[in-house]
Amino acid sequence: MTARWRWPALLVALVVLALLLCWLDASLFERTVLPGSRRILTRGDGLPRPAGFPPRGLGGTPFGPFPETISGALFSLGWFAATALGLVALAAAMLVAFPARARLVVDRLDSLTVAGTALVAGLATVLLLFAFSFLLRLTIVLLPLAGALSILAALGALFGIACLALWLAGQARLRIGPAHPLLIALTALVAFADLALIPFAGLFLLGLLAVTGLGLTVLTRFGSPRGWAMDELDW
Amino acid sequence: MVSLRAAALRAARGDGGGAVRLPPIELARLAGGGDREAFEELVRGYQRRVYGFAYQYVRDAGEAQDVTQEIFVHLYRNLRRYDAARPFEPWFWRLATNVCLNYVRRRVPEPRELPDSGDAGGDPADLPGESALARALGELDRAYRLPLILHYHLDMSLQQVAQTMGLSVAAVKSRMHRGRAVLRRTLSEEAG
Amino acid sequence: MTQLTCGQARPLLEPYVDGSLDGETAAAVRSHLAGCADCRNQHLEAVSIPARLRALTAPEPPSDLLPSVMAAVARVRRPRFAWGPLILEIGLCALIAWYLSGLAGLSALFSYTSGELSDVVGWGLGTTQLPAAPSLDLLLVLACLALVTVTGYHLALIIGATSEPSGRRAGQG
Repeated sequence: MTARWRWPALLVALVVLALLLCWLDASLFERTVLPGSRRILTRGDGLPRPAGFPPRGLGGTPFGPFPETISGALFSLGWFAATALGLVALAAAMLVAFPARARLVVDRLDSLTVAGTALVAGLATVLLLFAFSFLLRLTIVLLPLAGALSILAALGALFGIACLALWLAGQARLRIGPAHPLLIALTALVAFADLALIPFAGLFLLGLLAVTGLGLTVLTRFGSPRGWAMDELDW
Repeated sequence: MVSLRAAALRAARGDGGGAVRLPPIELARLAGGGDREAFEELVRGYQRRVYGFAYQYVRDAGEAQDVTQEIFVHLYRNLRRYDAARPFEPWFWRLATNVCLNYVRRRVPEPRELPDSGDAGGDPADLPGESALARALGELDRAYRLPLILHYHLDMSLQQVAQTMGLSVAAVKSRMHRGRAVLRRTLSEEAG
Repeated sequence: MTQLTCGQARPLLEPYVDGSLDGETAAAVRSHLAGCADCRNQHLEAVSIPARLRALTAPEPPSDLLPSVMAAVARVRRPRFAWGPLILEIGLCALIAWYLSGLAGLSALFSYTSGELSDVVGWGLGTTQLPAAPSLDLLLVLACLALVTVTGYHLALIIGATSEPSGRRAGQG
C-alpha cells in the first residue's frame, strides 16, 4: 500500500473497530449478562445505601450514566457511537483551537516519566477540585463556582487528551509515514475512543486518560510557552 | 555504571593511548546509562556544530549559547529514550531542531536596534557580502531555512536531512530549491 | 522545443543548477538563458548561493560553553512520579467520604466501584444530590481544608520538579 493511503486506511479500520465495539457494548447492555451490571441492577441486596447515592442506571459506561428510559439495541448502539464521536470531535476542536499550545505540551511530554508525573498531578488536581468544590458548596453563595470549576477541569482534561493523542500520533508518524497532521491526530483520537468503548474496562481507561490529560494541562499551565515560570511578571 | 565507564575508557585507550574516540552512537548509549564522562565527551564532540547551528538559527552569539546549552540539557534528559539501533545523527538533530523552534517561539520579540548594540565582540557574519546572505537566511521561512542550514552548514546528506525533518528526500530537495530561490530573489533585490 | 518566459524559467534555476531537471526542460532553460541577460544574472547568483551558504561562518563557541553545559546538566533532576503525598490525600478523601456516609456507605462504595465512582465525583462537583450531611460541620470543613492544602502543596512540588531549567545564562541578561 502506498504511504499516502496508510493513514486513511488506519483511520477507517479504527472507526470500524469503534462501531464494532459500540455494537458489543450495546448488546451487552441490552442483555445485562455481565456480573457487574446485574449487581447494579438488583440493588436491593441488603447492603445499606447511604442517603444521597441514588441508584442510577447501569453505570459503568465511559460516557456517564446510560439512559434507562429508552432502550433497544439500535438506540444503545447510536448512543455509544454518538458519545464517542462527541469525544473525538471536542478533542479535535481543542487541537484546532490551540495548535501552538498543544504542540508545546507534546514537546514537554518527552518521556514516559513525564506521563507518569502527569498522572499523579492529575490525581492530585482531581482531589483538590473535589475538596475545594465541597468547601465552595458549604458556603452556598459560591456554589456556582463549583460548577464553573468542573467545566474548567473537563476542558482541561479534554485538552490534555487531545495532546496525548497528538503525542501518540507523533510516535506513530515516525513508523507509518507523514500525512496531514490533523488526519494523524484524528486517527489517534479515534484510537482513544476505541479504548474507551471497550466494555467496562473502557470506563477506567478513559478515566486514566482524562486524569493524565488534566495533569498534563496543569503541569504545562495549559501549554504556555514558559510553564509556570513567573519571569514575565518581573520586567 | 562503573563497569560501563571502565569499558568505555578501555575501549577508548585500546590502541593509540586515548587518542581514539568512541563513535557518537556508543557515547550516546553510555551517556544514556548515566555515564557523565561519556556525555561530556559527546558534548565536546558536538559543541562546535551545535553552536554553529544555533547561531545560524537565532543569529545572536549570546542567544546561540543559551540555545546550545538548552539543546544539550534536552539531549541529556532524552538520551535514555534513544534507541541505539537507529542512527544517532538524525535523531539528535531532530531534537536540536525542536529545541531551537521552541526557543524562538517563546522568545520575546525584541525591537531591532542598531546593528552594533549587541555583542561587541565582532560578528563574523557582518563581513560585507556575507552579511546579506546571512541576513536573508535569517529572515527565510523556517520550513526552507532548516534544510539549508542542515545540508550546507552542517554538511548533512540529503538522506539525513530528510530523516531529521521527517520528510521524503524529494520534499527536502524541493524545499531547498525554493529556499535558495527566495534567497536569490532577496539578494538580487538588495543588489539591484 | 518549448519557449520559456522569465516567470517560468526562474523557479527552474535552482533545479537546473543542481542538474535535477529532465533533459528537455533543462534544454529549454538553457536556451532561455542564452537569450535573456536578466535571467543569466539570476543564474549566476543561483550558482553561487550553495557555495556561499557552505562558507557561512559562525563564531567560535565560547570557552565556557562545555563547563556551563555540564553544570546545567548536573542541575537536571530526573522528573519523579512523586506518589508519596497521594497516600495522605486518598486517606483524607476516604475520611471525608466515611464521615459523610458512614462505614457501611464506604464499603458499599468500594463494592460498587464502577457505578458509584461517578456518583461521588458528581456529588463533589455539585451535579448529584448532596448526601444528608451537616450543612456546616467543623470537622468536615477542616478535613476539606487539609485536603486542599495537601493537594495544593503536592501540585506545587510536582510543578517545581518538572519545570524546565532556565536557559538564561547566569549573571547575564
